[in-house]
Amino acid sequence: MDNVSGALTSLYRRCGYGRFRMSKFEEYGLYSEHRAFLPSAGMITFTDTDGRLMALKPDVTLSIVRGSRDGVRSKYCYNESVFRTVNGRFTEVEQAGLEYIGDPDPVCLSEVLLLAYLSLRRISNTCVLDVSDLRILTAAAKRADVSDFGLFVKRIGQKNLSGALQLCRNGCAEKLVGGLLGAPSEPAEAEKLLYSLSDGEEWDGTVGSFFRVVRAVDGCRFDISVVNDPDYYSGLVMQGYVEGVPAAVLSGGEYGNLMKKMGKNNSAAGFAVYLDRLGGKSEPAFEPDRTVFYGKDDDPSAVIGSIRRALEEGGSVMSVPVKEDD
Amino acid sequence: MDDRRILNLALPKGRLGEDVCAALSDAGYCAAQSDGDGRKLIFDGDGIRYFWVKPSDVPVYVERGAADLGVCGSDILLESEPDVYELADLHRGVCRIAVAAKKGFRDDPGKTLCVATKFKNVARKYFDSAGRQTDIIKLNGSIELAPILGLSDVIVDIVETGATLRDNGLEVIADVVPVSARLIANKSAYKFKTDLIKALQAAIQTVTER
Repeated sequence: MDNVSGALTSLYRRCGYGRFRMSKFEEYGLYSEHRAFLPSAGMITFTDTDGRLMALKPDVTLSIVRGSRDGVRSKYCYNESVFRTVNGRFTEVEQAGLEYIGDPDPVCLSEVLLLAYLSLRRISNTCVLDVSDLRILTAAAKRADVSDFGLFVKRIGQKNLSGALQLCRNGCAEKLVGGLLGAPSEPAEAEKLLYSLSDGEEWDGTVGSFFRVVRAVDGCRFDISVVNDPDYYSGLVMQGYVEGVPAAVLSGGEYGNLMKKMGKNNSAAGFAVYLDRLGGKSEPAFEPDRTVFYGKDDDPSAVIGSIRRALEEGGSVMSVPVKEDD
Repeated sequence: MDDRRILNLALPKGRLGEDVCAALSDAGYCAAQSDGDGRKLIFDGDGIRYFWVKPSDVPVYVERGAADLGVCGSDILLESEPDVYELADLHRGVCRIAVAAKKGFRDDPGKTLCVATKFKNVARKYFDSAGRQTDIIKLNGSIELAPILGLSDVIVDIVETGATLRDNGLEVIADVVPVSARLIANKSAYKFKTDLIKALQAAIQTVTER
């Protein structure tokens, strides 16, 4: 795990993201007001010596946003443990990620996407970074006259076309929603298809600004089913996968709505890498450059001498006791 | 064969699984064979590895990535809300979840309604949306017994023809949601086996939408 998390933090710092360090706990009120932003509602709480209710930190972004100042652009990266309820049990989850605070322009958004893609590549060469834009989905829902936007977003996230169409009251929905869900993943082809679904300048403008950001980063793919919570996210959203890990290992996007909810006047973007989901992918199996075998009668100083030489030469080494009957 | 070219498909044991096998066979896939006594759980054929699993476990196998694809009833998806793609309605195993009670039952809104069900989450959401206070009892089988023995006022259960309810002196008092079999996919597997999954989805939809 240290192997990957250290490399990711180093990557972000080389792009000007300063290390953000936090204490392990914060006032419960910060999180209770924004429970929906957290992947799980469960928190570990306790009472501080002055009577305040505290929580072991279940999230990093909320803390960074709370400390941000309007009108000040800041770039932070982190590698922190957060504490959540997972499958009904309190769990420590390690996350690395970054946040760009302060109305990210297209270049900044592309930079966030690039770092997300490079983060996935650092974990595995067989990876996918899927991106979408909630403004496109919101515009489509409006055109389709959707009866329940929250449920519509959920069904789009499941690639459940028939379920999504059940919520549409406009006859144009089948072509529009079916087109979006069936759009090619290659960004240039997807852009062409989305323009073909246009109903005017507003749609074209949203599609154009989204693909301008996405086209700048080789390796991104379009997928309208990437949907993070629209109460918090406001535009570009992303999810990253690596082969062999069954769930997304990276998630994020532009979270202007969260900023608004927290009383901030600017937007922000970022992502988190869920290091706990990587399992064996986070660190290669240990393969020593040299193996030192020893028996019970061997002189320890001779064995230690071999180990020391290997380490001083910069290699790796493992000592292995040999059983009598081997 | 390279594991990346093999699709792992979790099928529900029982009639629904057999129906889906027949549909896959019609769609040109070498479908899984049941070995009669149901002891053999894995079959290989035409680049697909089939697993026979308990119906309620299908989403677990798929969400956790042990299976790339699975077939299960939408009732199970509504109850467990797994983080998977729901790719197609297979129009098999069509039925509904409904509220049923003893014939002549009259609901008293002034009292907490006692509900027996194996679909706790579906029942809670349904009655919450109606603003009805409930005491929900989770049962795992023979749900129809609950109102007969006075364990509950009503039940929330799968209803296909209504014959079981009638045989036990019960009747449907409200429909909750229609149910049918769905093709589901693991989100990560979908990213890396897209062509294989889309081909199987298209083939089986061609058959099931006839």
